[in-house]
Amino acid sequence: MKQKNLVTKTLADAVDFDGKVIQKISFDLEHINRGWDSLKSDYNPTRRSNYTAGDIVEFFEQFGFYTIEWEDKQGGNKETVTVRGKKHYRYTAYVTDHKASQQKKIVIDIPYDFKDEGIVITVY
Amino acid sequence: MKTKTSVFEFDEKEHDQKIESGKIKPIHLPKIDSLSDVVKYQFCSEIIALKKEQKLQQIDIAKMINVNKSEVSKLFSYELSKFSQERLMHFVEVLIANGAKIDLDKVWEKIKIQSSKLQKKLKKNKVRAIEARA
Repeated sequence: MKQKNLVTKTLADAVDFDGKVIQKISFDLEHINRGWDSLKSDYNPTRRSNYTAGDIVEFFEQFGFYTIEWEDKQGGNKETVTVRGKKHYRYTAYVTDHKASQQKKIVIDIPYDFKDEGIVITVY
Repeated sequence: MKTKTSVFEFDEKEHDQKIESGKIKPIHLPKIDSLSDVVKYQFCSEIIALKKEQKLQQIDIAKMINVNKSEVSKLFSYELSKFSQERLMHFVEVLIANGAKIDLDKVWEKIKIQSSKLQKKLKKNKVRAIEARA
């Protein structure tokens, strides 16, 4: 991730996400639109999508509509991961890309020491 | 500047393997574009909430509403397109007949709230469509 690509957006309406009130989200648009080559430790050279920050906010806002049973177990939709030495909950879901009429996977991290911000890791 | 340990350096292939192996089962956020979707969603949510409140297993719910394990799994992943509105309502009726404490007045109240959210969403979509055309 390049620092300049980090975007933080405040949501118009807070989203209740697994019992936490998310008021803003951060994400790396380049990562979302190009994906990450873990071997080269860089973004993939070609773009796979052209999402804007507004699109990512719209994807996240979809969670505000639902009561979801997040399950932290084998075969569940919530995991505990350690990122940079800090524990995060990691959530995986399918959201709807209304423009393309497709379902897309979205991965969201919420740090254990959450304040008010969720992290959209990727959408693909 | 690259930060090798950035939170965003996420390996999608590895994640997909976890999904394919069943280690992770992503939740499906159903497409709610109509009032019928709102009703289906809410009745499905009531069944999910009942399981949680009464500490039941999916298989217990499956037996109560007389569906197989695969179908109940779809229900719990909000795969609403697989169920008709009438069928979901029937599931809730069967659960109530079996003693489940589901307050239908509250269910309809929630549907009213969700309908307002849908109204906002439809308006927002209209504005976005106009902006996209401009």
